[in-house]
Amino acid sequence: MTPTIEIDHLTKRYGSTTAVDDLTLHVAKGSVCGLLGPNGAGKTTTFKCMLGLTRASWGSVRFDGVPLTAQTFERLTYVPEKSMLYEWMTGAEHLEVVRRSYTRFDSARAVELTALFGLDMQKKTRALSRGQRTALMLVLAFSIRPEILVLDEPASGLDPVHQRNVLDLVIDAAAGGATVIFSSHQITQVERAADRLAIIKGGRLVLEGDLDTLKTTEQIVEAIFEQPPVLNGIAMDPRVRRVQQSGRVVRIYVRTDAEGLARGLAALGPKHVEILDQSLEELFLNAVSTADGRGV
Amino acid sequence: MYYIEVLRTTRVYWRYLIVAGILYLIAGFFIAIFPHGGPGDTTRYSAGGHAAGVAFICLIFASIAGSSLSRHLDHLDFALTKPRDRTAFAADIFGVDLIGLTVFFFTTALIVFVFHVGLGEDHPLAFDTASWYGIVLSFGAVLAWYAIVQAISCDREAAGWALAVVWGTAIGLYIFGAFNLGPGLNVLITTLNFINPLAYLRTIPFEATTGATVSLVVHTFAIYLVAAAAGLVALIRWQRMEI
Repeated sequence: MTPTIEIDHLTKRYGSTTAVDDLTLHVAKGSVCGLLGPNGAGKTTTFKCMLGLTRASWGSVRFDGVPLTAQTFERLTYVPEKSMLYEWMTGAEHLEVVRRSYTRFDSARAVELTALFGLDMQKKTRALSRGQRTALMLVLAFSIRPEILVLDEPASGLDPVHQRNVLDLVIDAAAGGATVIFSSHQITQVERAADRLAIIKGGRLVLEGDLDTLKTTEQIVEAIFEQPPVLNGIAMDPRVRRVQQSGRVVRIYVRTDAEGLARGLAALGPKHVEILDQSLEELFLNAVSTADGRGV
Repeated sequence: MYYIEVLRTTRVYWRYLIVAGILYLIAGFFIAIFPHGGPGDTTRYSAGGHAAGVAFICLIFASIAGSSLSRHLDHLDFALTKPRDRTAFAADIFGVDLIGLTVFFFTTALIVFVFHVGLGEDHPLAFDTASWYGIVLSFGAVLAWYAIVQAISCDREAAGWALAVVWGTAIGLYIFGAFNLGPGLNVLITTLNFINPLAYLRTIPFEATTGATVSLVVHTFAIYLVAAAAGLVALIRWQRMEI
């Protein structure tokens, strides 16, 4: 089946700076892809290229096999990182713009979402807090019952209750068959809502794949010693990707055969040896601390 | 996105009506106290000449309306991710602004006419052939001004500098066009005045004449070409703009 979102070899250069570098990413229908990356990694530029807000220097973006057209926006919604609302307009006026723009606008859904976020739609945008602006953008975005959602930090500025609401909306949309790609600085949000993960650094995709699979494909052998150990040559072991030593604690990131490595480490006489699955945070930190990309 | 533009333009109209109302009351007060003309003065003024004056007032509104694309620049992530392409978006805005400029131009003309007749102005207005050309040219000058401001400001968030450039250049060229500054500068200024709406307004006769001169007819057509060309430039720059 053709993925709903196909980004192929996307490259965006600004003069000598490469903001997005040969990025290839496919998101299947009904999937939620969390896009993680340090500040300036190219997440927002990727979204802007996807949506035609800026022109890609190279590569292509397709939605259901078709390049972006104005009609694509009939079923695609975008929530930008920063509020792009009109300061002098009220929430109700913004909603009216959306109602007039989309044939699939659902007014009952809009009312429901407005209540969910507790928004006063008669207030001008300039009178809203940052979180309320984000909430208003989410109301506008979800009131068209979109099939494709591109969300750039969608929970930014929201309180924990509304952050949870956003993630519920994302999960609910995906359960209904919508395809979601969203960026977040909060790893826990990605962990909760996403089933796929893409990590970019310096505009390049450094890690991509199914979230559960990624977490188990690389394991950590953690050992605690009486005295700081001397680990001669262990970093050269082909099974090992990285060794992190902090005093008496050693963490070895293992590509394969974690049990074999743990047995080898046990020969050094540690107090304790344990094999751990990677958390998403570790996955992220590992991916951005090294630049070797791989897919799962 | 015309809905946003309608909301915005409506707000501009209200501000205009308040300011215009105050200005016209002041003007009316002075006209009532100091009526023009007098016994024996049989000068007849061209309605086209009046329209040129009206056009000059309308340039203020055209300057505000002309930065309308620029006013959307902070909101493009919202505005351009709707099922409407950029050309249609710009066409919506141009359309609403065009209606606004038309209403503004003829409302202003009507108010000036009402004051002219009703508040002690003795000179009757002549609606001769030249006047009709003058009215059409005046409106064209407003449109051209609007389009030039759009072309310069459409991809700039701060439209203020664009207005300063347009007003400064237009007034400068208009003034220097009346002087002999040597062959080189004269040619340069004359050439630049081909795209200066103010220079076009100067070709409209203020006193009643018997007929339209060839120059007036040519300028009347030419100003619409300037408006169309500037509008096209604005559209191309808008189309090419990246966020």
